[in-house]
Amino acid sequence: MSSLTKQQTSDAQRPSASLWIRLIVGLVSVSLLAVAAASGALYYRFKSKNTEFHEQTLRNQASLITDYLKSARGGTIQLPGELNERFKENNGRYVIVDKSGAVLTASPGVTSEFTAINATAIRNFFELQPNDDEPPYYGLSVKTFYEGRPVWVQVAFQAGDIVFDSILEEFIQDIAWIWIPFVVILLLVNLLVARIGLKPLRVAANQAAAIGPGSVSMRLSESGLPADVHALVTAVNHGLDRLETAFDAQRRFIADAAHELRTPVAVLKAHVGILPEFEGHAELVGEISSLERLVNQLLDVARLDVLQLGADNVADLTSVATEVASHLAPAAIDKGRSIEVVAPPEPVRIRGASDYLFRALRNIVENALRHTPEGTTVSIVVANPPAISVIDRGPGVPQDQRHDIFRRFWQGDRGSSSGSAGLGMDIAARTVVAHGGMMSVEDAPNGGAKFTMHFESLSAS
Amino acid sequence: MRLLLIEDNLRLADYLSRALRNGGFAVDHVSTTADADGALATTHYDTLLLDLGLPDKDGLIWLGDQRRSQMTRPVLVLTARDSLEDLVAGLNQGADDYLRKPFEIDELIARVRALLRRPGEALGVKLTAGNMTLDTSCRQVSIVGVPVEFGRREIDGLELLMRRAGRVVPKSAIEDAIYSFGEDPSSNAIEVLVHRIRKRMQDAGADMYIHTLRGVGYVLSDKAADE
Repeated sequence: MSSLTKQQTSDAQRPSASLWIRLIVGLVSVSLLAVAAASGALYYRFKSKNTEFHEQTLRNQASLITDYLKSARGGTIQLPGELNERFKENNGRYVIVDKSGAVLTASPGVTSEFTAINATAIRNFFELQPNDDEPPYYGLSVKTFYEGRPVWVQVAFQAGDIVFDSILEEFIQDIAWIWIPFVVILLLVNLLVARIGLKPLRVAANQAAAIGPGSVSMRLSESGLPADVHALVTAVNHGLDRLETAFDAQRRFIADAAHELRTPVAVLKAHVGILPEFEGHAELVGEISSLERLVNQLLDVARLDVLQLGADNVADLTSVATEVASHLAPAAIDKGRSIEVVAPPEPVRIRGASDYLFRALRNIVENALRHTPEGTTVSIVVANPPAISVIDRGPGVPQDQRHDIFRRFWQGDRGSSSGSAGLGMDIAARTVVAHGGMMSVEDAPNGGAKFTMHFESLSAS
Repeated sequence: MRLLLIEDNLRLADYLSRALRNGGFAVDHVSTTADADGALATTHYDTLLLDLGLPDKDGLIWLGDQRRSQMTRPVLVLTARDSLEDLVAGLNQGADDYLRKPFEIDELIARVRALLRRPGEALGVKLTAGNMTLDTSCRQVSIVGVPVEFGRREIDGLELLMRRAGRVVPKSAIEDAIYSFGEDPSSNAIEVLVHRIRKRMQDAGADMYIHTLRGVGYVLSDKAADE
């Protein structure tokens, strides 16, 4: 069974992520970026303040020692007890060394200078990491004089013991509790606003989706739209206006062409009809019939381009079959053939245009009548699930020609000398495809060809 | 019998007029609806043949106006238009029958005769097909000039077939014509009836034949049926 199926189009071009998804991604990124940037800026600002504070503290502590040294006299340096107490309380250490690096005095447990002394610098800050487990020490080395000799006072405090570190920590924690929910709520509100803002687009898209060839006169609603969406919708509507104009022009052209082409054939036919019998009269009548058929088929082909299937277009296949049979039977009887219709008792309804289905079936049955031998009957079989088969008692369609038979202007062996232009099967197949169905050809059980138009059920379409 | 042909294509009008005159009719031809108004005002016509694409007014609109002003003559519409809507509109505007251009001359004459044979029209009483005649007033069938006895329902059925000789008569149309509302014919009543008509025709030597189209209806034709 070879078949002509509906072409799958537009699957190749899936649209990229929706505007909604893009907005979500964009807004989330912006929020994260804002959080990161704000945190970074705050951190940097606090860090520098913190360093400043460290330094100030170290300078204060160091100056306590240097002030004492200025007033102290005597061979060895012994810091007063209260000073020692103060360092101990703050978990700080000090050491005083001379220019050779020898320790003049130090807090308990300190045996050497914290950092190598710098002979030129009046003061320099340093950082110490005595071992990996402990937090680092921040320190200051200050050059001063004791009894005329240069000495270096080095003080160091453990990080975290300075009050400021804990203030920073607390501050960041407090801010985070406010900052994070704020950002989350802001994000949600933004998304909601975007969603509401996009609603007119969604509505317009749904309306546009409902527009098909069956409703070219439909337009997208333009009321209550924001200006930019309105511009898009107006542009689409103008496009639809032009489309409808072209559609109507095509339809008018076909109607005019039908009139203009048929009138001369009618004149010709009437003229031949009144002439007395002459040699070749029958052949001439036959040729005029072929011409008439060709005109009708060309109009049928053109009409397929303006086929409009509305939701309320319902056709009963049994009525279509009996109409075609009634239309063709008198001519078939004159040529010694007959037609029958076999149909279920209930109507077989599909979404479709009766006049188009009539012309499609007429073409198939005309084809069958040309191939069925004299004295035989062409059967039109209506079935449910919706289908119409046309069975002739002729030679059938050879396997290798079954695809070609639906091609426009194809004649094959079956078509030769039959006065057919090869348009009939193309019209039938395209009509069926326009109805969302498919057409098949196979051998009939008793020989002969069986052409079937398959349609979707009314409920399924 | 006088016909009025309203057709603006002069050559077609000429050929049709000649053909209809050969068929035994008197034919007047006009090209516009204005001329048709004039002709109708002065002459009695048995049937009008109306083309739709007339230069001064659309044929259907003119027909609608005529029907509203009580013009009751049968009208056969000749049209090169073919959309279903046009045909339905034509029948709604009061056309009695239509023929799509191009058509066979014989078909045109047969349709005109069919219109004239309607009850109350010029050819009212006698139907002829081949060598058969049916007098519709005294319900008598003659074949080769000899009266043949038919049952009442058989004559009703035959009348339907003869009025539409050469065209398909749906089975349902015969059912509707023969059985009154509420009467429920058995499933094969029409087959049996047609079989009896056919046998009587055959026995009397009729040269017309009733063809059965299964699932469609019947056709009275001069072509012999196999059955």
